[in-house]
Amino acid sequence: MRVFYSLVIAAVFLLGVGVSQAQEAKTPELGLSVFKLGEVNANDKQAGEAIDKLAKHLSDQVKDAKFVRRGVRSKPDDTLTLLKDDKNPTALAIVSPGFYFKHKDSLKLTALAEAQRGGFNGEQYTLVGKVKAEKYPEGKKVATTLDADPDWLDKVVLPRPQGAKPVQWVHYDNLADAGYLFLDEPENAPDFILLDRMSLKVFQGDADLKGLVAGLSSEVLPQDLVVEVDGRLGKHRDATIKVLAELDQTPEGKKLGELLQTATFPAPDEKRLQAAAARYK
Amino acid sequence: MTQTSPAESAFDLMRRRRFWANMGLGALLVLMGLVLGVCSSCQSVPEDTFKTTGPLTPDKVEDYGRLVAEGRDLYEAQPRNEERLRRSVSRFDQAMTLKSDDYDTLWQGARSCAWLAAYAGQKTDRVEFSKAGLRYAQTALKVKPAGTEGLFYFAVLSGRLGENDNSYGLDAVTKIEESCKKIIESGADVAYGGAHRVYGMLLLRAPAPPTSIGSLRNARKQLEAALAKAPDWPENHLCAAEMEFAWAKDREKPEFAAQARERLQKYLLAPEARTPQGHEFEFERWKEDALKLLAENR
Repeated sequence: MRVFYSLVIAAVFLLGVGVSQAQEAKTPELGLSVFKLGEVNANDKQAGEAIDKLAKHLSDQVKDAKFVRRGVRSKPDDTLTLLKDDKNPTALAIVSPGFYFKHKDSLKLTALAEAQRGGFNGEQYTLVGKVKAEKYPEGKKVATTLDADPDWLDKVVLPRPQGAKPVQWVHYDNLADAGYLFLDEPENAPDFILLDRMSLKVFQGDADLKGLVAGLSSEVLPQDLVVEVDGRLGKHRDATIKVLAELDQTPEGKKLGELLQTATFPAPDEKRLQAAAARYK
Repeated sequence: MTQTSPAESAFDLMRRRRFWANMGLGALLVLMGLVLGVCSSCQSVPEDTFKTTGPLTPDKVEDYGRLVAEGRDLYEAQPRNEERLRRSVSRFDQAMTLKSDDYDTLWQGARSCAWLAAYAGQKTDRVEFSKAGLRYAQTALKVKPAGTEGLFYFAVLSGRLGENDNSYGLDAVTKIEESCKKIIESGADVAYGGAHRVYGMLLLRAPAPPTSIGSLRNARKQLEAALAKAPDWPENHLCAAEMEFAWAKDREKPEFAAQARERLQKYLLAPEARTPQGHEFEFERWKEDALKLLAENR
């Protein structure tokens, strides 16, 4: 009798393992990585939970798919290392357009969607300062969080006219604090601050910063892109694109969108993407 | 700080000093981590209030008075501990079944909850006491919408809730900012520059715009304002030191780190640093925090 029970237990155990292994084989992990250029809080400790939430949403909505966070990074080199890690492969990533253009071929990246951060369709950068920047600010100090990708800045955001002295990009973690320098310590202030659309809105609503003057603006550029890495989404590609595009269609998706400050991830604007790619070369 | 009129008795003055001293507790908002991406499903800070009771019947007047007095005495007994504070909250909870529209009782209930939201051993308890305290604070604000204490504990408890349950983080930031600004704009003071201190710590630890409202410069302004309100309050020096270490690093000005070390020694760690009366437990915690801060900024 005891032997019989042992066999039953062993059988149940083996069966259990078998089922578990079968489930695992059925739903391989799809790595999700995020790169937010220059965002000091873009790390696993501070943003990991939010990205886990996005991974869970995708897992719940894309049939038979299991997304897991691989990492959240703010620097291009760290992101490259993460995306090259074959032991923990990334299938889906959110990256800056500059990163996408630079590593599109080597990492086999395919743009699937574009983030609409802050509800804006496309990104546009504006120079603000004590005086209006009417033209390319030759040789001036410009505060930015994006200085880790100078190619993106110099070729696409603020293309340098031929023969012009390049601007000096100066890194600030907090652009509002860079703005306050104009009031508190003008001798230490940069000449201009490069603001994205959301930050410009913050400046315009801040009692101390709204006196700064908005000048030269970039073209409307792509925002961060959702990319597939090396075709690793496989059969889940179309469903993933659909879920991202329809993020704001469900209450849970809306909440997640609020958290990510990105209500939805529609298909990339191809024309805009190609125009930026042409400049980036 | 609230001014006393010459007509007030020494007893009133003494009682008021004690009153403000008791409000100093827990005002160090150790919230952040909470904003940006750390919120997991973006919930709103609860807005429920106590059910309105009918008028206090004569036979219940004594019971109500006893419960409120016990709740307050259990809070004031030194050094504070979790067991006594749980009993304090329990007394206030019982009092609420009899009468739920007395402003002073309501904010005192919120204060006891705020202590537990900060110091209870279990995280789940800290979340529950944050929510319980918010009900007291919200009801206090229903009775007296611009009440300084109600606004203050609403801010502190929103922060504690966000700290212990990140899903409330984003909303907590808004609530803290709104409440503290109302207090500051009214010119009133609470908890030794408490509104400036709480708002300052929020600005110090929150991510930068556009993600959130963090700003080292604005944090410095608020924390210096807290010090101006109460220059001897150790908690203000603890918070100012954290800001100064950040400032020293950000602006590459080591003299600010030296200043931070000096104030931590003088107001918290040196043998002559005095424990504020009625804050034995909290002062020990602040000293631990000061040592951690020094270790992180060697």
